[in-house]
Formats: sequence, C-alpha cells, structure tokens
Amino acid sequence: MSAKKKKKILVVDDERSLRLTFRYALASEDMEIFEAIDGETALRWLEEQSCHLIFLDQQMPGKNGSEVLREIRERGDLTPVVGVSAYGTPDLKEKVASLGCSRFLHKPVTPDQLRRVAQDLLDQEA
Amino acid sequence: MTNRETSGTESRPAPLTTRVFFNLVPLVVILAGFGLFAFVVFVDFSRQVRDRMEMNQRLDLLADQVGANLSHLQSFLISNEFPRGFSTAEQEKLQEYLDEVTDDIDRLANLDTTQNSAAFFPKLRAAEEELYTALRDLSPGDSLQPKRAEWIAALNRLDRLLEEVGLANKAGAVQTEKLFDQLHRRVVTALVGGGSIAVIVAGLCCYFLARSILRPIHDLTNATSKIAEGQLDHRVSTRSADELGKLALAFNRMADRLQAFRRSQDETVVRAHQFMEATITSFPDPVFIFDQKQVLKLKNAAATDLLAAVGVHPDGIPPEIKEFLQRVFEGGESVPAEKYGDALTWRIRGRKKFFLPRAVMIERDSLVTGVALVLYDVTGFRLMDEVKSSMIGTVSHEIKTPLTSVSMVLHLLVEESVGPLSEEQRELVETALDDTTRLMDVVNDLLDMSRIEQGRVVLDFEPTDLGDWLQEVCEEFDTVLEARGQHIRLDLDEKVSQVWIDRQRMANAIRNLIENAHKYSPPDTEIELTLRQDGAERVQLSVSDRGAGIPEEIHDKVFEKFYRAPGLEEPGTGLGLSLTREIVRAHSGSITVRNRPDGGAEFTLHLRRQPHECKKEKEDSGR
Repeated sequence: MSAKKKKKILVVDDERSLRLTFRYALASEDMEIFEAIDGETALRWLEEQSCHLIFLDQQMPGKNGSEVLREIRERGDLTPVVGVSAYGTPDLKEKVASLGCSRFLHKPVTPDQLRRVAQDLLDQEA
Repeated sequence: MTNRETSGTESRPAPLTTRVFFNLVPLVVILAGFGLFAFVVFVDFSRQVRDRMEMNQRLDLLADQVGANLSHLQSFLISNEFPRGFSTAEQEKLQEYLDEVTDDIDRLANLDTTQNSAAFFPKLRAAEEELYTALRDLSPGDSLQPKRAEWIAALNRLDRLLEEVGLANKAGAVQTEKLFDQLHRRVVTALVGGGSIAVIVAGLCCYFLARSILRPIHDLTNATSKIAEGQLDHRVSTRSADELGKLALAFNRMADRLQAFRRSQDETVVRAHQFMEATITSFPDPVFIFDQKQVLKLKNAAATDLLAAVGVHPDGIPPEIKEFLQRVFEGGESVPAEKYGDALTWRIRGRKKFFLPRAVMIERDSLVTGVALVLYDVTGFRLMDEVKSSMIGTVSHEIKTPLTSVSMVLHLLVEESVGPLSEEQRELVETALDDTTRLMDVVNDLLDMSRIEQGRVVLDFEPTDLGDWLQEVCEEFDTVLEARGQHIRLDLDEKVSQVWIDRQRMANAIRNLIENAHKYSPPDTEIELTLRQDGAERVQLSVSDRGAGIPEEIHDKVFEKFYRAPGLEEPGTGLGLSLTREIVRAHSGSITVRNRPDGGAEFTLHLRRQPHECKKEKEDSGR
C-alpha cells in the first residue's frame, strides 16, 4: 500500500553532484527519486515510464531544458515540470513558462526550497 | 618773476580768439579803405558839380544884366532924339549906363574861363571900346543925330556878341553836363571796382579763417567717424600749435593707445584661436564644434576622416550625431560619456566601430552658444568589455553550479538528514555554509553586474510607495543590526509620491548601502534613512552612517568595480556600490556620496518618479 503511494520524481541534470544532493534533499518515505544525466536519457525514460514531477536543468549538453520540455508537452505529457537554472534570465523564465513549466528555481537552491516546491506541486496534483 | 619765467619757457600758441581777430583785421582795413575812397571820390565830385553850377548861374545872371543894361542904353538912345543934344543929366545917365555895361563885360570876361566864350571877349572888348570912345567924346548939346546910326550899329554888334556869348555859355553847359557824366561814370567804376576788391579780399579772409579754424574741426570729426568705424590707423594732421592743434595731438595720442590696445587684444585672440585649433587638431578623437543652431562650425582632422569614412558629405552630419545633438539641446546640459551602450556605431571599412559621444555645452552668461562634441573611439574597449562581460557570465555559471551542490551538501549536513553531527562537526559545517553563502553572493553580484552592464536586464517596474517598501526592506536587518547594538532610524517624508521601481533590484541596491553602513559604523550607533521629494518628478533617498566617513579624494572611485578603499579591514569584494550605481542608473537615476558635517558618510540616490525605460515600456505595451 505504502509502496504504491510513493510519488515518482525525475531529476534531470548533467551534474552528478547536483543529482546526488537533490536525491538526498528530496529523499523521504513517500518519494521515489529517479535520475537522468541529460535530456535524451530523460525522454527515453519517460517513453517507458511516467512520474509525478520533473526537476529539469536548463543548461545541459545536447538537448537543453526547454527543448526537452517542448518534446514532453508535444507527446501530450502534462507532468508538472520545475525549471532549474544557474543563469536564469527573465527571458528564459518566460520562455519555459510558455512551454508549460510550473515553477522556476534559481541555483543555488536550498533543500528546504526543493521540498516546498515539490510538496506544493504534488499536493496540487493530488 | 616765476610767472614770467614759466611763460617764457613755454611756447605759448596764439590763442584761437587772437587768430580769429587777426584774420578779421585785413577785412576791416579793406572795408574802411574802401569807405574812405568812396567818401573822397564823392566829395570831389560834389564839389566840382557845385562849382560848375555856381559859375554857370553867375554867368547867366551877368549876361542877363549886360543884356538889360544894353537894352536900357539902346532904348535910351532910340527914344531920345537929342535934337538939341543932351543935357548934362542925360549925359551923366548915359555915362552911367555905359560904365555899367563896361563893368559887366569886364566881370563877364574875368568870370568865364571856358574857351568857347573866351574867344568872344576880345571882340566884346573891342565893341565896347568903340561904343565907349564914341560916347565918351560927346559933350552936352552936341547933336546926336549923325552918330546915332553908328551907335545903334555898335550896340547891335555888341548885342549880337552877347548873344554869341550866351550861346557859347550854353555850349559850355552842355560840356559841363558831359563832364558830369564822365565824373559820374568814374565814380561808379571806382565804387564797383573798390567794392569788388573788398568782396574778394573779404572772401579770401573768410576762406583762410575757415581753413585755419573749421578745417581742423572737420578733420577731427572725420577722424572720429573713421575710428568709430574701426579704422584705428587713421590720424589727424597737426598744423598749428593752438587749442585745435593740442586737441589734434591729444586725439592722435588716444588713437595710438586705442590701436596698441586693439593690436594686443587681436594678438591675444589670434593666439588663443591658434592654441585652440592646435589643441583640437592634435586631438586623436573626432571633435566637432556646433553653434546654438546645430550648425557645424569647426572640426578637426580626425572628424573629417570619420565623415569621409562614414561616407557623409564633408559638410554634412551623420543622422546618428544629429539625433544625439537633438537630445543634448533638448536636455540643455552636458552629456558625459559613460556607458558603452550609448556608443554611436558606424561600419567603417568593413569593421564595426564604436564611438562614445561626449557633449560639452559652450555657455556664455548662462546662455548656450554651442556644443563641443567629442567622439571617443571605444571600439577596442567595447570589444574587451564584451569579452569580459561574457567571461564573467560563463565563469559565474561555472562557479555557481558546483557552489550550489556544495551549499546543498552543507545544508543537508546541517539539517542532519544524512546523520547526526557532533558539536565540532556542526560548527565547521556552519562556517563552511556561511562562506559558501558569501561566495554565492559575490558570484550573484558579478552576474548581476555583467548583465546590467550589457543591458541584458529587463527591469520589472512597479509603482511603489517608497515609505512602506523601505520599512519592509529595513526589517530584514533588525537581527543583524541588533547584534552590534545598531538600529535604523527612518525619516520618511509622507508626501513623497509613488515611484516606479524594480523592487527586487532596488532592494538589492538599498541592502548594499545598509550593509556598508552597518559594516563601517561603530557599535551602538544609528543608521539613518531619509526620503524626500525633490521637485515634482524626483525623490531623494539617503542612507547615512556614523562611521569615519570616506576621504574626499576617493569619492569618485568608490563606485568603481572591485575598488576597495585602502586600509579596510572588513571583508568585501568592492562590487556592492558599483552594482548599486548600475541599478540606480538602470532606473534613470544617479547616486552621490558626501561626508556629513557631523561625521559619517551619506549616500544619496536621486530617483525619477518614472524612469525613461519605464515610460518606454508603458508606451510599447500601450500600442
């Protein structure tokens, strides 16, 4: 029962240290964290599985955050997405918002911020 | 004695009045001479006329008298036939008549001097003699009959002669008339001639008088007009040593000094102009001088080259410069060159060139008479600035990402979500977290700076009640300030109107100022925030502390990037004030610093109620 209730969260970031710290920050009994090292991996993972929330880094080698987001939405996948960037200009924020990005977080983020945002969005979905 | 010596050494000129007097003397003499001459001629003439007339009258009277006596004698002889000869009484009577006639003829002869009648006198005397002899020999009682015809004939002859004398006398009168005519003509000629000479002499006198007095005055008037027209080399010729001569000398001295003054002034102006031209020409950057009508008045070689390179006619002005000038004249104040974003750009020989325009108002008596425009070629700097800015961006990003994970790790450790920490471990991790946060702030400042400088930041303006908003900003500092016994005193003018600001950025700017005040003020002091309205369109916001103040010589430098005042012990990057200035500028405002008279530094933000960018945005969204 409890295993069924676990919310799946996908963290997409090319930086291993960030994936790791996100995992530790969000880790809890009712959350299951998955990682993708770039956009391609994330899109492939999403073809096979679904999740409740995606943390999506914007600056990545290969496909960048907004390109990945566009593809997700083009598939009709409406999973909430939180954009994360170290260099988030208002333009970028606006662009990803128009693609259906629910929230935007500027690096550095604190574990508290991550948890709050995640909780908010998961509650809304529920 | 002294007076006499003084007057002797001075060459005293004949005064003007003396000259006028001496010029008029000949005229008076001529007129007096002519009057005298006319008088003499007239007196002589009238005397001659009177003499002639008198003599003629007497001649006529005598001739009449002789004629009357002859008539008496004739009628006596004709009426008395003297048959018995005449008595003694009659003879005496006859003798008396005869004597009278003789006397008369004698007198007549003596009187008449005219040649015409003089010829008759011998004849008259002969006839008279004959009659007298005939009558003288008569004795009383002698018969007169035989002699009577002889006497009558003698008498008739005498009568005829007398008539001839009368005729001659009349002819003499005609001659006299002619003589009068001659005399009259001579007098008229003399008077006309004398009068003409007098007029000519008087004219000459007047001419010389006018020449000697009026001409110098005329010359002076002429010279004054010429000097007034600017012909400062004009001089008056000095002919005399009198008052006018002195005046001419003084005038010439004045003209000399004027000319010398003008020459020195001209030289100064020419020299100044040469200096100015040399200065402008030697300037490596293009320099344009415009008059108040925005007409190009002067440009240096670099400016000419620029116009040629841009492809504008040498006398033309590129539209970019025109537009900039328009703004300068509308603003009415000098525009310093500061932001690379304001640079004018032209493609010159295939390369994009950047020129930072700097306009300096040329003013006289607080009236704008022109603008000096210098275009600094900042192409090199601009490229460097772009490289630097993009480098800052990249480097910041590359620092920020690992810093985020470090900070996350430290946060997770402090939260003890991965396991409990000992006291020592906690202290160390917290210190590391503090430094990470500080490092992150620096990186954020750098990023903000590079973005604002590149004009990449789009500000989010909102109308804000500064008073309320400032209170909120200050509340954040309560804990930090309390730790040092400091507090903020707000002095807010309630009448301050709403101001359009990007609240997040402006809060950063104010935070930087409060943090500085906090860092550089001694404990237990007050930080003062003052808000004032400055005219209808501006507000002033000041943050002042009770620290040591900032040395005047570095007031300009404190806003430079990475500048740290010498001897500062507090940690800092030297970016805070620089970023604050950039934020304020992005709000079309400015920031100034001064030391308060009672100690401490005071930073003042001068903000527009509605920044230019904000206006533009509103206009754009309104379309």
